[in-house]
Parts: sequence; structure tokens; C-alpha cells
Amino acid sequence: MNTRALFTPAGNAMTLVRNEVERMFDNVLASHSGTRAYPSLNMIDDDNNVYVEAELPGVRMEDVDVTVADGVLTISGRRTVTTPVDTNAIRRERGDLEFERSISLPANVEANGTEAVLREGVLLLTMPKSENAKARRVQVTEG
Amino acid sequence: MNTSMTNYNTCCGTDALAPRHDNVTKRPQYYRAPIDVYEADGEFTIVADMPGATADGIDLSVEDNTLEVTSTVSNRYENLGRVLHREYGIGDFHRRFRIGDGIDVSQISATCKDGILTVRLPKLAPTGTRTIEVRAE
Repeated sequence: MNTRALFTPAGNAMTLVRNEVERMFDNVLASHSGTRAYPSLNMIDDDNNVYVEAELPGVRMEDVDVTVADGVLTISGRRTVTTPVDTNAIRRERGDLEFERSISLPANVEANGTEAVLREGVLLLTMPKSENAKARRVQVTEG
Repeated sequence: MNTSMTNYNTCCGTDALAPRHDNVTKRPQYYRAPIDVYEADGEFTIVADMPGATADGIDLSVEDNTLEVTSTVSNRYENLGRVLHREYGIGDFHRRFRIGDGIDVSQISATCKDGILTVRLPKLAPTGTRTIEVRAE
């Protein structure tokens, strides 16, 4: 099994199955407006890297797991909202988070070289493209 | 004493807040940050999820009993490449709160860490309220 854990031990087979099922659901849900999987993901690429970004306010790096397996990136983690002592919550829109989200990567990436930075509540994963996935300029010569 | 604090701005969509007649504005959309509000004996605390916000991009102002929080978020993708897949937008956060007379406006303070803004609004020490003892003659 080509599972490579980047920050935590690799998930077991059951996790992979669950990921796959959730990914199917994500696809179904995405086609209906309203319900959204958490966290939302943006994906950017340039010549050398694929970037995946997720907004994770208040989530600590040690509470985030990132794995890449067979071209599928999975981000999971949690956040616990604590009520300050001796206070009453008079409005609550934020909540505890327990999330797991998978997304297919568009090109072969070097999972080994993945870098993760969590800054100001934004997780940015930088995954270098493998050499053969990079666009190459082919020299055309007159024959 | 009225120390109530009401978040009356249930939605700050583009209609209310986007600059009018300005089609060249780069990011005319504001995002509504989810918040918690806590009340303690001496203060209110607002906690807001504002991923991507930094302390120097946050502007707090109080006018006419309204606390206005604006957080400028820089366009992180400007130098990154092309967007292949987008599920959320990046833009400034904005919320407004009606605050009562019981807040000591001069002592409002805020911190920002890990994309979470925390605003403390101390209550004014009670004044004008005193107990008058009635003695039997």
C-alpha cells in the first residue's frame, strides 16, 4: 500500500476506506448547494509546486494530520473551543471542530517533499511536482 | 445600567458594505467572521474566527455605540500561481456590534493569534447607583 504519512503514522486500511467513502459524499454534497465539507480547500499550482490551502483558525499544528496516498491528499484534525472561566456564553457561532477531508491531487507530487505551514490560522501545503510532471519546453529545431 | 451588547448585523453582504460605483475595487467582498461572545462580571469578550488576519491589519472603531471590526486580509495567491480549485474566497472580514452605555470604550483592547481575534470590552464601574439607607426614627 502506497501510503505515506507526512506528519503522523499512516492511517490504517479502515481509514482509507472511510476517506474514500467521505470523498464520494463530498462529491455528492458539492453538487448540492448548502452543505459543505470542512475544511474548504483551495488548490493552486505553478511550474514547480502544487499548493493546497485550508482555513483552520485556532487549530494547532500538532492537531493536524496530513497524509498523501495514491494521489489523494487527506487533511484531518480537531479544534476545541473552550469557554473562558467564570463567563457565560451569550452568543456562540464558533464550535468544536473534528474534520477530515480528502482531495485528489492533479499531478504527481513528491509526497516526501511536502511542506506544511500553519500561519494565522491558514494551513498551506506545498508539494513539489515530480520531475516528469513538470512542464517541459521542447526545443524545436529545423530539420 | 445597560451593558447589553447586541450583534445587530446579521449579515454584511456586499449590498451594505461594498463600495458603490467602484467596479475596479480589487476585493469588494467582505466576509462575516463567526463569533462567540462571553460575559463575565467585569467585561465582555468577543472571539472571532478570522483566518489569515494579522494584528496590524485589524481595525477596531467605536462610534455611536457601535463597535466596528474590520480585518484586512492580503491576497495570498497573488504570487502563487493559478487557482485550480476554489472552495472559498479570500477577503476582508467585517462585523459590527451594538454596544451599550455600560462599556468603557477607552479600555477596549484586542489581540490576534492563530487567526483568532479576541476583543475585550471592560464594563464601566457602576456609577450613579448607591444604596440609601433608610433609618427608622
